[in-house]
Amino acid sequence: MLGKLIKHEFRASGRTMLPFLGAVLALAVLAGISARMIDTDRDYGLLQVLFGLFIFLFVMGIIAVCVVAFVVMIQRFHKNLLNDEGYISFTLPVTADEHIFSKLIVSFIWFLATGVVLMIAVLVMTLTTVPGAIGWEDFRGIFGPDGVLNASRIWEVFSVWDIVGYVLEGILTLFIISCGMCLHFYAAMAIGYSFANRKALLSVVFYFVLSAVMSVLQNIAISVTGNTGIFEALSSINMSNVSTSAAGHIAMLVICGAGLLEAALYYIPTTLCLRKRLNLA
Amino acid sequence: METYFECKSLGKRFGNVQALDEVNISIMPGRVIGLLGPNGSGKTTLIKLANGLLTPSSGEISVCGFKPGKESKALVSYLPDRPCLPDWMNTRQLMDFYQDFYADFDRSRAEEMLSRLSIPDRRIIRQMSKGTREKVQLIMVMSRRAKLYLLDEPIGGVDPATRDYILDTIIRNYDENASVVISTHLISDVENALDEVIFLKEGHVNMQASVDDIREQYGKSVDALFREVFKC
Repeated sequence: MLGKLIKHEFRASGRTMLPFLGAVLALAVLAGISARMIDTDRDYGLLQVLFGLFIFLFVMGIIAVCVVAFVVMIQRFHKNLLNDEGYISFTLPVTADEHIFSKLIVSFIWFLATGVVLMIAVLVMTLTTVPGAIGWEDFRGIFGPDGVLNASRIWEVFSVWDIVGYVLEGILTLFIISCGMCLHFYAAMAIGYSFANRKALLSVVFYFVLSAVMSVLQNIAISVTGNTGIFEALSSINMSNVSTSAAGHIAMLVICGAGLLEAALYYIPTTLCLRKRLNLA
Repeated sequence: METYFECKSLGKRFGNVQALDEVNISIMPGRVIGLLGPNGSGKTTLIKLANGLLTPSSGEISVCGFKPGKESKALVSYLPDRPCLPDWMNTRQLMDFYQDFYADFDRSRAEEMLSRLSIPDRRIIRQMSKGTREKVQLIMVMSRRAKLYLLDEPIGGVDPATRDYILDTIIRNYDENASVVISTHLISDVENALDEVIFLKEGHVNMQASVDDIREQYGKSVDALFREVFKC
Protein backbone atom coordinates (compact mmCIF):
# COMPACT_ATOMS: atom_id res chain seq x y z
CA MET A 1 0.00 0.00 0.00
CA LEU A 2 2.97 2.33 0.59
CA GLY A 3 3.75 2.15 -3.13
CA LYS A 4 0.18 3.12 -4.02
CA LEU A 5 0.25 6.02 -1.57
CA ILE A 6 3.53 7.21 -3.12
CA LYS A 7 2.04 6.95 -6.62
CA HIS A 8 -0.95 9.11 -5.71
CA GLU A 9 1.24 11.51 -3.73
CA PHE A 10 3.35 12.02 -6.86
CA ARG A 11 0.21 12.64 -8.91
CA ALA A 12 -1.00 15.24 -6.42
CA SER A 13 2.31 17.08 -5.95
CA GLY A 14 3.56 16.64 -9.53
CA ARG A 15 0.78 18.92 -10.79
CA THR A 16 2.56 21.79 -9.06
CA MET A 17 6.19 20.70 -9.12
CA LEU A 18 6.61 19.56 -12.73
CA PRO A 19 5.50 22.84 -14.38
CA PHE A 20 7.87 24.80 -12.11
CA LEU A 21 10.81 22.50 -12.83
CA GLY A 22 10.04 22.62 -16.56
CA ALA A 23 9.76 26.41 -16.45
CA VAL A 24 13.21 26.74 -14.82
CA LEU A 25 14.78 24.59 -17.56
CA ALA A 26 12.98 26.56 -20.28
CA LEU A 27 14.10 29.87 -18.76
CA ALA A 28 17.70 28.57 -18.60
CA VAL A 29 17.59 27.86 -22.34
CA LEU A 30 15.99 31.26 -23.13
CA ALA A 31 18.48 33.15 -20.96
CA GLY A 32 21.35 31.24 -22.60
CA ILE A 33 20.08 31.94 -26.14
CA SER A 34 19.55 35.64 -25.45
CA ALA A 35 23.04 35.90 -23.93
CA ARG A 36 24.54 34.18 -26.97
CA MET A 37 22.75 36.51 -29.37
CA ILE A 38 24.15 39.57 -27.57
CA ASP A 39 27.64 38.35 -28.44
CA THR A 40 26.83 37.83 -32.10
CA ASP A 41 24.43 40.66 -32.84
CA ARG A 42 25.24 44.34 -32.93
CA ASP A 43 21.71 45.48 -32.09
CA TYR A 44 22.17 45.47 -28.35
CA GLY A 45 19.08 47.43 -27.21
CA LEU A 46 16.21 44.92 -27.40
CA LEU A 47 18.41 41.87 -26.90
CA GLN A 48 19.93 43.30 -23.78
CA VAL A 49 16.48 43.94 -22.39
CA LEU A 50 15.46 40.38 -23.28
CA PHE A 51 18.65 38.97 -21.75
CA GLY A 52 18.08 40.96 -18.57
CA LEU A 53 14.46 39.85 -18.46
CA PHE A 54 15.27 36.15 -18.95
CA ILE A 55 18.10 36.24 -16.43
CA PHE A 56 15.77 37.94 -13.94
CA LEU A 57 13.05 35.36 -14.61
CA PHE A 58 15.58 32.53 -14.39
CA VAL A 59 16.78 33.69 -10.96
CA MET A 60 13.18 34.21 -9.84
CA GLY A 61 12.36 30.74 -11.19
CA ILE A 62 15.18 29.20 -9.14
CA ILE A 63 13.95 30.92 -5.98
CA ALA A 64 10.33 30.04 -6.78
CA VAL A 65 11.00 26.34 -7.40
CA CYS A 66 12.87 26.05 -4.07
CA VAL A 67 10.04 27.81 -2.22
CA VAL A 68 7.38 25.75 -4.01
CA ALA A 69 9.10 22.44 -3.17
CA PHE A 70 8.99 23.50 0.46
CA VAL A 71 5.39 24.76 0.36
CA VAL A 72 4.17 21.61 -1.42
CA MET A 73 5.77 19.49 1.33
CA ILE A 74 3.83 21.37 4.02
CA GLN A 75 0.63 21.81 2.03
CA ARG A 76 0.29 18.11 1.11
CA PHE A 77 0.51 17.04 4.78
CA HIS A 78 -1.90 19.77 5.87
CA LYS A 79 -4.48 19.36 3.12
CA ASN A 80 -4.32 15.61 2.67
CA LEU A 81 -4.24 14.55 6.31
CA LEU A 82 -5.48 17.35 8.56
CA ASN A 83 -8.27 18.91 6.52
CA ASP A 84 -11.43 17.55 4.87
CA GLU A 85 -9.41 15.24 2.61
CA GLY A 86 -8.30 13.55 5.83
CA TYR A 87 -11.71 11.86 5.98
CA ILE A 88 -10.77 10.02 2.78
CA SER A 89 -7.08 9.50 3.64
CA PHE A 90 -7.63 8.12 7.13
CA THR A 91 -10.34 5.69 6.04
CA LEU A 92 -8.08 4.06 3.46
CA PRO A 93 -6.82 0.63 4.54
CA VAL A 94 -3.36 1.99 5.35
CA THR A 95 -1.64 2.95 8.59
CA ALA A 96 -0.75 6.46 9.75
CA ASP A 97 2.93 5.46 9.46
CA GLU A 98 2.47 4.60 5.79
CA HIS A 99 0.90 8.02 5.23
CA ILE A 100 3.84 9.75 6.91
CA PHE A 101 6.48 7.72 5.06
CA SER A 102 4.83 8.25 1.68
CA LYS A 103 4.99 12.00 2.22
CA LEU A 104 8.58 11.89 3.48
CA ILE A 105 9.75 9.85 0.49
CA VAL A 106 7.94 11.98 -2.09
CA SER A 107 9.12 15.25 -0.50
CA PHE A 108 12.72 13.98 -0.53
CA ILE A 109 12.46 13.02 -4.19
CA TRP A 110 11.13 16.48 -5.09
CA PHE A 111 13.92 18.16 -3.09
CA LEU A 112 16.45 15.98 -4.89
CA ALA A 113 14.80 16.63 -8.27
CA THR A 114 14.88 20.37 -7.56
CA GLY A 115 18.61 20.23 -6.82
CA VAL A 116 19.34 18.15 -9.93
CA VAL A 117 17.19 20.39 -12.17
CA LEU A 118 18.94 23.51 -10.84
CA MET A 119 22.34 22.00 -11.64
CA ILE A 120 21.15 20.97 -15.11
CA ALA A 121 19.64 24.44 -15.64
CA VAL A 122 22.95 26.17 -14.88
CA LEU A 123 24.78 23.71 -17.15
CA VAL A 124 22.22 24.16 -19.95
CA MET A 125 22.44 27.95 -19.68
CA THR A 126 26.24 27.85 -19.82
CA LEU A 127 26.27 25.49 -22.81
CA THR A 128 23.60 27.49 -24.65
CA THR A 129 25.42 30.75 -24.05
CA VAL A 130 28.79 29.47 -25.24
CA PRO A 131 28.55 26.11 -27.08
CA GLY A 132 31.49 23.96 -26.09
CA ALA A 133 32.14 26.09 -23.00
CA ILE A 134 32.41 22.89 -20.99
CA GLY A 135 34.21 19.99 -22.61
CA TRP A 136 36.33 16.96 -21.80
CA GLU A 137 39.31 19.24 -21.30
CA ASP A 138 37.61 20.78 -18.28
CA PHE A 139 36.98 17.36 -16.76
CA ARG A 140 40.57 16.44 -17.49
CA GLY A 141 41.58 19.65 -15.77
CA ILE A 142 39.67 18.65 -12.66
CA PHE A 143 40.36 14.94 -12.56
CA GLY A 144 43.74 14.94 -14.38
CA PRO A 145 47.18 14.65 -12.73
CA ASP A 146 47.29 18.37 -11.90
CA GLY A 147 43.57 18.69 -11.11
CA VAL A 148 41.88 19.35 -7.78
CA LEU A 149 40.47 15.82 -7.77
CA ASN A 150 43.36 13.77 -9.05
CA ALA A 151 41.67 10.57 -10.29
CA SER A 152 44.74 8.32 -10.04
CA ARG A 153 45.37 9.56 -6.48
CA ILE A 154 41.68 8.96 -5.60
CA TRP A 155 41.86 5.33 -6.83
CA GLU A 156 44.98 4.77 -4.73
CA VAL A 157 43.08 5.67 -1.56
CA PHE A 158 39.48 4.61 -2.35
CA SER A 159 38.21 1.41 -3.94
CA VAL A 160 35.14 1.23 -6.22
CA TRP A 161 33.15 -0.06 -3.25
CA ASP A 162 34.27 2.93 -1.18
CA ILE A 163 32.94 5.30 -3.83
CA VAL A 164 29.66 3.33 -4.10
CA GLY A 165 29.45 3.35 -0.31
CA TYR A 166 29.98 7.13 -0.15
CA VAL A 167 27.30 7.72 -2.78
CA LEU A 168 24.82 5.52 -0.89
CA GLU A 169 25.78 7.07 2.46
CA GLY A 170 25.44 10.52 0.92
CA ILE A 171 21.94 9.76 -0.40
CA LEU A 172 20.99 8.21 2.95
CA THR A 173 22.30 11.26 4.82
CA LEU A 174 20.40 13.63 2.53
CA PHE A 175 17.24 11.52 2.99
CA ILE A 176 17.56 11.54 6.77
CA ILE A 177 18.21 15.30 6.84
CA SER A 178 15.21 15.86 4.54
CA CYS A 179 13.05 13.62 6.79
CA GLY A 180 14.17 15.49 9.92
CA MET A 181 13.27 18.84 8.36
CA CYS A 182 9.87 17.62 7.08
CA LEU A 183 9.06 15.87 10.36
CA HIS A 184 9.72 19.07 12.31
CA PHE A 185 6.86 20.69 10.35
CA TYR A 186 4.71 17.52 10.43
CA ALA A 187 5.05 17.16 14.21
CA ALA A 188 4.14 20.82 14.78
CA MET A 189 1.07 20.53 12.54
CA ALA A 190 -0.01 17.14 13.93
CA ILE A 191 0.13 18.51 17.49
CA GLY A 192 -1.48 21.86 16.60
CA TYR A 193 -4.34 20.23 14.69
CA SER A 194 -5.09 17.81 17.53
CA PHE A 195 -6.64 20.73 19.42
CA ALA A 196 -10.22 21.86 18.89
CA ASN A 197 -9.56 25.53 18.14
CA ARG A 198 -6.83 27.81 16.75
CA LYS A 199 -5.21 24.85 15.04
CA ALA A 200 -3.03 26.81 12.59
CA LEU A 201 -1.80 29.23 15.24
CA LEU A 202 -0.99 26.37 17.62
CA SER A 203 0.94 24.62 14.83
CA VAL A 204 3.20 27.68 14.49
CA VAL A 205 3.62 27.87 18.26
CA PHE A 206 4.51 24.17 18.45
CA TYR A 207 7.04 24.57 15.65
CA PHE A 208 9.03 26.94 17.85
CA VAL A 209 8.38 24.89 21.00
CA LEU A 210 9.78 21.81 19.26
CA SER A 211 12.79 23.82 18.05
CA ALA A 212 13.46 24.94 21.62
CA VAL A 213 13.02 21.41 23.01
CA MET A 214 15.36 20.00 20.38
CA SER A 215 17.94 22.67 21.14
CA VAL A 216 17.80 21.86 24.88
CA LEU A 217 18.11 18.12 24.15
CA GLN A 218 21.13 18.76 21.91
CA ASN A 219 22.81 20.79 24.66
CA ILE A 220 22.06 18.07 27.22
CA ALA A 221 23.44 15.42 24.85
CA ILE A 222 26.63 17.41 24.32
CA SER A 223 27.17 18.00 28.03
CA VAL A 224 26.39 14.35 28.92
CA THR A 225 28.71 12.97 26.24
CA GLY A 226 31.35 15.52 27.29
CA ASN A 227 31.15 14.52 30.94
CA THR A 228 31.39 10.83 30.18
CA GLY A 229 34.71 11.41 28.45
CA ILE A 230 33.56 10.15 25.05
CA PHE A 231 35.28 13.03 23.24
CA GLU A 232 38.54 12.39 25.09
CA ALA A 233 38.29 8.69 24.26
CA LEU A 234 37.65 9.45 20.60
CA SER A 235 40.50 11.93 20.36
CA SER A 236 42.89 9.42 21.94
CA ILE A 237 42.28 6.90 19.16
CA ASN A 238 45.34 6.58 17.02
CA MET A 239 43.94 7.67 13.64
CA SER A 240 46.96 6.34 11.84
CA ASN A 241 45.45 2.86 12.37
CA VAL A 242 42.25 3.93 10.60
CA SER A 243 42.40 4.22 6.83
CA THR A 244 41.24 7.46 5.16
CA SER A 245 38.31 5.69 3.50
CA ALA A 246 37.19 4.07 6.77
CA ALA A 247 37.40 7.42 8.56
CA GLY A 248 35.17 8.91 5.85
CA HIS A 249 32.59 6.12 6.25
CA ILE A 250 32.63 6.50 10.04
CA ALA A 251 32.04 10.27 9.71
CA MET A 252 29.15 9.75 7.29
CA LEU A 253 27.53 7.13 9.54
CA VAL A 254 27.88 9.36 12.62
CA ILE A 255 26.09 12.17 10.72
CA CYS A 256 23.38 9.65 9.66
CA GLY A 257 22.96 8.44 13.25
CA ALA A 258 22.61 11.96 14.65
CA GLY A 259 20.11 12.90 11.92
CA LEU A 260 18.17 9.70 12.48
CA LEU A 261 17.88 10.40 16.19
CA GLU A 262 16.56 13.91 15.55
CA ALA A 263 14.10 12.64 12.92
CA ALA A 264 12.89 9.93 15.33
CA LEU A 265 12.25 12.53 18.04
CA TYR A 266 9.98 14.44 15.63
CA TYR A 267 8.42 11.25 14.26
CA ILE A 268 7.09 10.01 17.61
CA PRO A 269 4.71 12.95 18.32
CA THR A 270 3.64 13.00 14.65
CA THR A 271 2.56 9.37 14.54
CA LEU A 272 1.05 9.45 18.04
CA CYS A 273 -1.09 12.50 17.23
CA LEU A 274 -2.30 11.03 13.93
CA ARG A 275 -3.12 7.70 15.53
CA LYS A 276 -4.48 8.70 18.91
CA ARG A 277 -5.40 12.38 18.81
CA LEU A 278 -6.71 12.87 15.29
CA ASN A 279 -9.27 15.67 15.43
CA LEU A 280 -10.54 16.45 11.95
CA ALA A 281 -12.77 19.52 11.81
CA MET B 1 -23.71 -15.18 13.34
CA GLU B 2 -20.87 -12.67 13.21
CA THR B 3 -21.84 -9.13 14.15
CA TYR B 4 -20.66 -6.43 11.73
CA PHE B 5 -20.63 -3.66 14.28
CA GLU B 6 -20.47 -3.95 18.04
CA CYS B 7 -19.98 -1.43 20.86
CA LYS B 8 -19.54 -2.44 24.50
CA SER B 9 -19.78 0.30 27.13
CA LEU B 10 -18.35 2.69 24.57
CA GLY B 11 -17.59 6.21 25.77
CA LYS B 12 -16.07 9.28 24.17
CA ARG B 13 -15.21 12.46 26.00
CA PHE B 14 -14.07 15.77 24.50
CA GLY B 15 -12.65 17.78 27.38
CA ASN B 16 -15.56 18.28 29.76
CA VAL B 17 -18.16 17.12 27.26
CA GLN B 18 -19.25 13.47 27.36
CA ALA B 19 -20.23 12.92 23.71
CA LEU B 20 -20.98 9.20 24.12
CA ASP B 21 -21.56 7.30 27.33
CA GLU B 22 -22.03 3.55 27.96
CA VAL B 23 -23.12 2.88 24.38
CA ASN B 24 -23.98 -0.76 23.70
CA ILE B 25 -24.92 -1.61 20.12
CA SER B 26 -24.88 -4.77 18.05
CA ILE B 27 -25.55 -4.84 14.30
CA MET B 28 -26.04 -8.08 12.39
CA PRO B 29 -25.41 -8.64 8.65
CA GLY B 30 -28.03 -7.85 6.03
CA ARG B 31 -29.75 -5.02 7.91
CA VAL B 32 -30.44 -1.39 7.07
CA ILE B 33 -30.20 0.58 10.30
CA GLY B 34 -31.19 4.14 10.95
CA LEU B 35 -28.93 5.87 13.47
CA LEU B 36 -31.36 8.53 14.57
CA GLY B 37 -31.05 11.44 16.91
CA PRO B 38 -31.15 15.22 17.01
CA ASN B 39 -28.09 17.35 16.30
CA GLY B 40 -25.41 16.85 18.94
CA SER B 41 -26.71 13.45 20.05
CA GLY B 42 -23.42 11.70 19.15
CA LYS B 43 -24.24 10.13 15.75
CA THR B 44 -21.20 11.52 13.92
CA THR B 45 -18.92 10.76 16.89
CA LEU B 46 -20.08 7.12 16.87
CA ILE B 47 -19.47 6.81 13.12
CA LYS B 48 -16.06 8.47 13.41
CA LEU B 49 -15.12 6.02 16.18
CA ALA B 50 -16.17 3.11 13.96
CA ASN B 51 -13.92 4.45 11.20
CA GLY B 52 -10.90 4.98 13.44
CA LEU B 53 -11.07 8.77 12.99
CA LEU B 54 -11.41 9.07 16.76
CA THR B 55 -10.22 6.83 19.56
CA PRO B 56 -12.61 5.78 22.35
CA SER B 57 -12.17 7.20 25.85
CA SER B 58 -13.63 4.01 27.33
CA GLY B 59 -15.21 0.72 26.30
CA GLU B 60 -14.74 -1.33 23.16
CA ILE B 61 -15.72 -1.07 19.53
CA SER B 62 -15.39 -3.74 16.88
CA VAL B 63 -16.11 -3.52 13.17
CA CYS B 64 -16.44 -6.74 11.14
CA GLY B 65 -14.54 -8.53 13.89
CA PHE B 66 -11.65 -6.06 14.05
CA LYS B 67 -10.80 -3.04 16.15
CA PRO B 68 -10.99 0.02 13.87
CA GLY B 69 -7.78 -0.07 11.84
CA LYS B 70 -6.25 -1.15 8.56
CA GLU B 71 -8.18 -4.46 8.42
CA SER B 72 -11.59 -3.01 9.25
CA LYS B 73 -11.15 -0.09 6.85
CA ALA B 74 -10.81 -2.55 3.96
CA LEU B 75 -14.29 -3.87 4.79
CA VAL B 76 -16.13 -0.63 5.62
CA SER B 77 -17.37 1.92 3.13
CA TYR B 78 -17.76 5.33 4.75
CA LEU B 79 -19.60 8.40 3.57
CA PRO B 80 -18.57 11.46 5.62
CA ASP B 81 -21.06 14.21 6.41
CA ARG B 82 -19.35 16.63 4.01
CA PRO B 83 -17.89 16.55 0.50
CA CYS B 84 -14.20 15.80 0.95
CA LEU B 85 -12.98 14.28 -2.31
CA PRO B 86 -9.60 15.57 -3.53
CA ASP B 87 -10.82 18.51 -5.63
CA TRP B 88 -7.98 18.39 -8.17
CA MET B 89 -8.89 14.90 -9.39
CA ASN B 90 -11.20 14.15 -12.27
CA THR B 91 -13.71 11.31 -11.99
CA ARG B 92 -11.42 8.88 -13.83
CA GLN B 93 -8.53 9.61 -11.45
CA LEU B 94 -10.96 9.24 -8.55
CA MET B 95 -11.99 5.78 -9.76
CA ASP B 96 -8.29 4.85 -10.20
CA PHE B 97 -7.74 5.98 -6.60
CA TYR B 98 -10.60 3.87 -5.19
CA GLN B 99 -9.62 0.89 -7.35
CA ASP B 100 -6.02 1.07 -6.13
CA PHE B 101 -6.90 1.05 -2.46
CA TYR B 102 -10.08 -1.02 -2.25
CA ALA B 103 -10.09 -4.56 -3.61
CA ASP B 104 -13.91 -4.55 -3.42
CA PHE B 105 -14.36 -1.46 -5.65
CA ASP B 106 -16.60 -2.27 -8.61
CA ARG B 107 -15.46 0.14 -11.31
CA SER B 108 -18.09 -0.84 -13.87
CA ARG B 109 -20.80 -0.10 -11.33
CA ALA B 110 -19.30 3.34 -10.65
CA GLU B 111 -18.99 4.08 -14.38
CA GLU B 112 -22.59 3.09 -14.96
CA MET B 113 -23.86 5.33 -12.15
CA LEU B 114 -21.74 8.26 -13.35
CA SER B 115 -22.97 7.87 -16.91
CA ARG B 116 -26.58 7.79 -15.67
CA LEU B 117 -25.89 11.21 -14.16
CA SER B 118 -24.15 12.30 -17.39
CA ILE B 119 -20.93 13.10 -15.53
CA PRO B 120 -18.00 12.80 -17.98
CA ASP B 121 -14.95 10.91 -16.72
CA ARG B 122 -12.67 13.89 -17.34
CA ARG B 123 -14.77 16.29 -15.25
CA ILE B 124 -12.67 17.76 -12.43
CA ILE B 125 -14.24 17.60 -8.96
CA ARG B 126 -13.48 21.30 -8.35
CA GLN B 127 -15.64 22.22 -11.34
CA MET B 128 -18.70 20.36 -10.02
CA SER B 129 -21.55 21.86 -8.03
CA LYS B 130 -21.83 20.92 -4.35
CA GLY B 131 -24.77 18.61 -5.12
CA THR B 132 -22.88 16.82 -7.90
CA ARG B 133 -19.83 16.38 -5.65
CA GLU B 134 -22.04 14.77 -3.02
CA LYS B 135 -23.53 12.43 -5.61
CA VAL B 136 -20.08 11.48 -6.94
CA GLN B 137 -18.87 10.80 -3.40
CA LEU B 138 -21.91 8.60 -2.74
CA ILE B 139 -21.33 6.75 -6.03
CA MET B 140 -17.74 5.96 -4.98
CA VAL B 141 -18.90 4.75 -1.57
CA MET B 142 -21.76 2.63 -2.92
CA SER B 143 -19.60 1.16 -5.72
CA ARG B 144 -17.69 -0.82 -3.16
CA ARG B 145 -18.90 -4.31 -2.26
CA ALA B 146 -18.26 -3.65 1.39
CA LYS B 147 -19.53 -5.58 4.40
CA LEU B 148 -20.61 -2.47 6.25
CA TYR B 149 -21.67 0.91 4.90
CA LEU B 150 -21.51 3.78 7.36
CA LEU B 151 -23.32 6.75 5.86
CA ASP B 152 -23.21 9.96 7.87
CA GLU B 153 -26.05 12.35 7.01
CA PRO B 154 -26.27 11.24 3.36
CA ILE B 155 -29.44 13.27 2.77
CA GLY B 156 -28.70 16.29 4.95
CA GLY B 157 -28.73 19.64 3.14
CA VAL B 158 -29.82 18.40 -0.29
CA ASP B 159 -32.99 19.11 -2.30
CA PRO B 160 -35.85 16.53 -2.28
CA ALA B 161 -35.06 15.28 -5.81
CA THR B 162 -31.41 14.65 -4.87
CA ARG B 163 -32.60 13.06 -1.63
CA ASP B 164 -34.63 10.54 -3.65
CA TYR B 165 -31.65 9.85 -5.91
CA ILE B 166 -29.35 9.26 -2.93
CA LEU B 167 -31.75 6.91 -1.14
CA ASP B 168 -32.44 5.03 -4.37
CA THR B 169 -28.69 4.67 -4.98
CA ILE B 170 -28.15 3.32 -1.46
CA ILE B 171 -30.98 0.81 -1.58
CA ARG B 172 -30.16 -0.42 -5.10
CA ASN B 173 -26.46 -0.91 -4.56
CA TYR B 174 -25.73 -2.42 -1.18
CA ASP B 175 -24.99 -6.09 -1.06
CA GLU B 176 -27.71 -8.28 0.49
CA ASN B 177 -25.31 -9.65 3.09
CA ALA B 178 -23.96 -6.24 3.98
CA SER B 179 -25.29 -3.90 6.63
CA VAL B 180 -26.01 -0.24 6.08
CA VAL B 181 -26.01 2.34 8.86
CA ILE B 182 -27.66 5.62 7.87
CA SER B 183 -27.22 8.47 10.30
CA THR B 184 -29.88 11.16 9.93
CA HIS B 185 -32.50 13.22 11.66
CA LEU B 186 -34.72 13.32 8.55
CA ILE B 187 -36.66 10.23 9.58
CA SER B 188 -39.68 10.40 7.28
CA ASP B 189 -37.43 10.31 4.21
CA VAL B 190 -35.60 7.13 5.21
CA GLU B 191 -38.21 5.31 7.28
CA ASN B 192 -39.41 3.02 4.51
CA ALA B 193 -35.90 1.85 3.77
CA LEU B 194 -35.04 0.89 7.36
CA ASP B 195 -35.12 -2.53 9.05
CA GLU B 196 -33.98 -1.27 12.43
CA VAL B 197 -33.49 1.98 14.26
CA ILE B 198 -31.14 3.15 16.99
CA PHE B 199 -32.20 6.26 18.86
CA LEU B 200 -29.29 8.26 20.27
CA LYS B 201 -30.07 10.87 22.89
CA GLU B 202 -27.38 13.01 24.51
CA GLY B 203 -24.75 10.36 23.94
CA HIS B 204 -26.82 7.43 25.21
CA VAL B 205 -28.63 4.70 23.29
CA ASN B 206 -32.26 5.40 24.01
CA MET B 207 -33.59 2.49 21.98
CA GLN B 208 -32.54 -0.18 19.47
CA ALA B 209 -35.49 -1.93 17.86
CA SER B 210 -36.78 -3.21 14.56
CA VAL B 211 -39.12 -0.93 12.62
CA ASP B 212 -41.81 -3.65 12.60
CA ASP B 213 -41.62 -4.00 16.39
CA ILE B 214 -41.99 -0.25 16.84
CA ARG B 215 -45.07 -0.13 14.64
CA GLU B 216 -46.54 -3.16 16.42
CA GLN B 217 -45.65 -2.15 19.98
CA TYR B 218 -46.28 1.60 19.82
CA GLY B 219 -48.82 1.66 17.00
CA LYS B 220 -47.07 4.56 15.31
CA SER B 221 -44.45 5.30 12.70
CA VAL B 222 -40.76 5.71 13.55
CA ASP B 223 -41.06 9.39 12.67
CA ALA B 224 -43.97 9.86 15.12
CA LEU B 225 -42.12 7.97 17.86
CA PHE B 226 -38.96 10.02 17.21
CA ARG B 227 -40.91 13.27 17.60
CA GLU B 228 -42.36 11.96 20.88
CA VAL B 229 -39.04 10.75 22.31
CA PHE B 230 -37.08 13.86 21.31
CA LYS B 231 -39.80 16.39 22.04
CA CYS B 232 -38.23 19.68 23.17
